[in-house]
Amino acid sequence: MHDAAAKSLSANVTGSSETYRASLLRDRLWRAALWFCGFIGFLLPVAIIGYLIIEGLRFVSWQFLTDYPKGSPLGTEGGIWPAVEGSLALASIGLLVAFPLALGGGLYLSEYGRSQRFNKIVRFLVECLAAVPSIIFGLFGYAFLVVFLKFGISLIAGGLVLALIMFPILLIAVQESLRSVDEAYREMGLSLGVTRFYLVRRVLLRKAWRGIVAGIVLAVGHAVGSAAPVLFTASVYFSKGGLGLDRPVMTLPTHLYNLVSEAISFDQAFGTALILIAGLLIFNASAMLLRRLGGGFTQ
Amino acid sequence: MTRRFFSKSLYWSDAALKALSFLALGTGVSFLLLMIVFVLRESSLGSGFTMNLFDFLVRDPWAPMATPPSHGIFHAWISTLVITGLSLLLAIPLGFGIGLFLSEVAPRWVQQVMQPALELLAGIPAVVYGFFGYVTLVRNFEVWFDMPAGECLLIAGLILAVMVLPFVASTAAEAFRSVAQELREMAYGLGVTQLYVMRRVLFRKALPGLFAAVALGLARALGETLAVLMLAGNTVAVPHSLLERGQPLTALLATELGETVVNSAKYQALFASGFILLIVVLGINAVIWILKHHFLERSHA
Amino acid sequence: MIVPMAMTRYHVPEEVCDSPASERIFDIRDLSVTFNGRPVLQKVNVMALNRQVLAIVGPSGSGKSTLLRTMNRTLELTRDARIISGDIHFKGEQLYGNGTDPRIVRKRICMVHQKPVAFPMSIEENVLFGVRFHKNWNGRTKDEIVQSCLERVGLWNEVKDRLSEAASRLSVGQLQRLCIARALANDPEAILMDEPCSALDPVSTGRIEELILAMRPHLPIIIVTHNLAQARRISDQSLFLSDGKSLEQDTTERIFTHAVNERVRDFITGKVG
Repeated sequence: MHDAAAKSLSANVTGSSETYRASLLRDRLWRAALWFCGFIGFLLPVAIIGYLIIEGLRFVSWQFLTDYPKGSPLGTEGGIWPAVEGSLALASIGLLVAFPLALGGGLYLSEYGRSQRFNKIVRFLVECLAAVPSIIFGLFGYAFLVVFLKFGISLIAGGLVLALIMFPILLIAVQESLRSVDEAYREMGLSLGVTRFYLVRRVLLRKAWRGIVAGIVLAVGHAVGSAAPVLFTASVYFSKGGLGLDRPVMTLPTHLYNLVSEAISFDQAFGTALILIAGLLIFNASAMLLRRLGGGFTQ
Repeated sequence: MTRRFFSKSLYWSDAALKALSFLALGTGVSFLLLMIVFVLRESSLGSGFTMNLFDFLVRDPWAPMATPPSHGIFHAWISTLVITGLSLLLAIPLGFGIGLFLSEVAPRWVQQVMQPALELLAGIPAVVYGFFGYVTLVRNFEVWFDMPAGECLLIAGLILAVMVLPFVASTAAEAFRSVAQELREMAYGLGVTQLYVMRRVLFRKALPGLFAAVALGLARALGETLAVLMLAGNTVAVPHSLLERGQPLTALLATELGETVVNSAKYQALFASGFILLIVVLGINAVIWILKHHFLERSHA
Repeated sequence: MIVPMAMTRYHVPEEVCDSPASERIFDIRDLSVTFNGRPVLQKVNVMALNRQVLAIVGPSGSGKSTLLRTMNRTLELTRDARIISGDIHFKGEQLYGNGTDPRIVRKRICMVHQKPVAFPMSIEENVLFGVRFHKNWNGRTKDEIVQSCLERVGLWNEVKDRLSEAASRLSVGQLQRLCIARALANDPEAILMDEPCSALDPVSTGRIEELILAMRPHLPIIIVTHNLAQARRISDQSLFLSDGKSLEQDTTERIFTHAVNERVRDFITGKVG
């Protein structure tokens, strides 16, 4: 009885079992191919980042970070402090301008905007803004801020361009983190007769702040790394350091670009790339941590 | 007790916050419109554009120093097209594969490792990609293909493929994940293989999302600047093969803008090409938006 | 209230125990399943006979669907579910034996789900979905298969003029019958149904019930239902499941009138929901 039944297990598949076995083989090959794709997707970031870290570590020291570019041609020796300083200043100005606007915008969209249609259109425009290539922001910044408003190539012009780049990222982060707060909090809060302002301040922002901060971290990381928008609005080839709103600055990405395109020093370039990558890793890790914590709390 | 029941003052803070937040939203968003208008204005495409559009796009070479100077961008958009096409050709199959892997095959712990890895790949600054491509590929190409200078469209396309890969992969993974679990279970319940389910059910159901993934990759690739600037070679000749140098639109803008007299014919030409790029990317973005909403509404129904 | 041991012990009628092995479609012994380490089924026993409809009833959350999904090996599609002990025999074969291909199991034992879903293709292609994979044409053309399967579920006359239309345009009731046709096209040896009528209106429910009774002579059917009246209308045997334990199995007639287990009696009389 059992033997006969066991035989029927394979025999019972009507149609030739040869084709069946072929389709199983194809399935197995396909799965192997997908695993291979996944492996590549994992290998690429690890290999690229690992390569840059290993090569870069040879040239990075505390002095590299805090010294000024030296040597002849300039940049072959010394450090990159003015670029670090400039990048941080640009991102800070960008954040200072963009965050209040984004917080307000996100609040309006998620808490006050009553018309679905209006919210949808605005969100569409914001997503358009987020998709615009950064070189276009550079063009706009150059024509509008540097030339039209006569800011000149300066920290303030670059900072405002970065603000424009950060605004949509921040707004989407604010709106999404507020939206992920359970609707029950709003109903419960408002049913106690408090204003939305009070509710936002006491409940919603407390629930959503981790997501918002994660958005800030990602936006700043993005702004620090992008060279195209500051190339002709804020950056110069060399600066003695010291910041002024009306003066240009050095930035990390443009410095790296100059080192490579003018073939000044690949050692220095490896060091600069490592500083950028290290910044990226720190930013991403903290954003991930915040989001994970935030996720745990909102549930 | 003559306390008024509905005190107006209590709601001032609310009205103020509402007005302020609306103002903030308006300010931010109006800059997008300002940007479009301003780039268009600087290009004078509307009124005083000094060139025939056909000459500008197809016929004229880019020779600003010649007499008379000529500012055609044929070489630039051809380079952009070649590099973008090449990068998508590589990134789409691999990205879809990674998407399928993440959504259908990978065990949970693998997903938890891959997702941040892809995010890192997406977060690496373009200039670092350019540098990486330079020190790894460009130098070796000089040896392998016996080229005087290694920069070429092929390298730019390869690196660009790596850059858009995480966007294509994560959007594709999302598209596959959004296919209802019940559908998957029903299909497997009929005793078919994973390949069969993917081919006949998942791909069709995820199609709008997959289109969105392609569109997102396309938009990213078109607008990428620093990496192609450093790797494509930056020459104004029209490229004839993948191993030749070229100058995509974005690289043209980045190279020339700093040294251009404001409101000259060259300045107009640069802003006109910027405007075209902007409009194309916004158009692609609109398509992504429609696809996303189309298939969101579908999956809710 | 403390239930005496004798009362909680699983009860199977003698004629089922004494039935010859060849008449036993499903013979499940001491099946235990965990979900993320949490027990969902504990030492469940089921015996299903040929040419009969077995209804699995019980309060919601008692593990009815999980039990059904172990029976054609679709449970393993859920990541967190584990079968930790027990035996499942289908016609005397080990369902989870070494070298048993789950796809062949699923081809031979088909499942009809609670919520009908159309595959993204035409009505005709929906029916042929499994056939195109398993190649069980058996000398029939595709039109013959489509027609015979749709006729068996009473859908042929309604859709014969629009076979190439997208299946998603059918009504829910029609879709559920299409799902059954899709299962029949596989030439299954048993059909499992997981609350097939819970998403349907009374008229469509009636048609599905007629269909079940019509299929009974050729195909053993196991149906999970939360609807006691339905179980009474269409089933020959009924199995009561509660908190992941099988309490009692008997002929439907007897279990609805003279249940041995007290909790089963309470459930039938509506004392507990």
